[in-house]
Amino acid sequence: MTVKTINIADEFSKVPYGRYPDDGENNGERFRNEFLVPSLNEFEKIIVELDGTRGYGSSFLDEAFGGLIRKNIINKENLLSKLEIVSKFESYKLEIESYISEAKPEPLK
Amino acid sequence: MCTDFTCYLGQAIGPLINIFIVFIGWSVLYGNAQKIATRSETRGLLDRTIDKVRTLENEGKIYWLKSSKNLTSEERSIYTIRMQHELQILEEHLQLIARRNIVINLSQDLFKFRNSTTFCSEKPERSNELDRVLSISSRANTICNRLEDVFISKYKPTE
Repeated sequence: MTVKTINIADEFSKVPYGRYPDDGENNGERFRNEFLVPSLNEFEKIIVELDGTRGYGSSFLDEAFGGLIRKNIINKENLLSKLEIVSKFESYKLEIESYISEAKPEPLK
Repeated sequence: MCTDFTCYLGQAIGPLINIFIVFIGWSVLYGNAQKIATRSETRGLLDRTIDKVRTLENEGKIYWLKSSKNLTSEERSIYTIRMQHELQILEEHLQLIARRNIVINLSQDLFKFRNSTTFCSEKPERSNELDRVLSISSRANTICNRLEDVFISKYKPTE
């Protein structure tokens, strides 16, 4: 099984913030498009390590992880089976799982 | 002066029994003092955590009440980044409380508190400010009440 580990603090930013590019450079949409999407396409399992940053806002987590479902990048079952969240903060794992579960795919244009 | 064995035994054992009683009394006092100190330290940690929740609740409410006015992008980012950092510190405080044998899982409540304070806080004008303020208040109360409940369950008030 091919596995990719993404450490957000080391590889993306220690201060992830915002949902869209107009909120700031280290936003959830950029993390999704530049880190999660390529890894999901290339690897069978991805491990996202959350610790080491100055915390996460809900918009960032929703856009990065829930956005994968809304943008039809992957379906919920596949995402939940391929994604592993690693953090000493249990609340982030619950929050991410909740955004993935609640997200609805946007109609394809 | 003892001449028979029983009298001799009584004289030898008497002081030992006294020492034993003193030792028992001392260990009871030590045990009680330790329990009171542990309770007091845990109470202190709990109070600091509750204060932190209340501070974040107030900051969140003030921010969302101002949200209908024009907030600068700097004000939005400062609020969100500060809040997400402080909420992470709050979760560390809760982990310290758990290490003092206060068994409580507030992860779900913390995630909802974070959601009510930071979800779309970069574009607050898109949310209903009153709904958000009420939600922040409710989430903060849940965390504080659950902390108080578990403390009272562990250290029952004296009658």
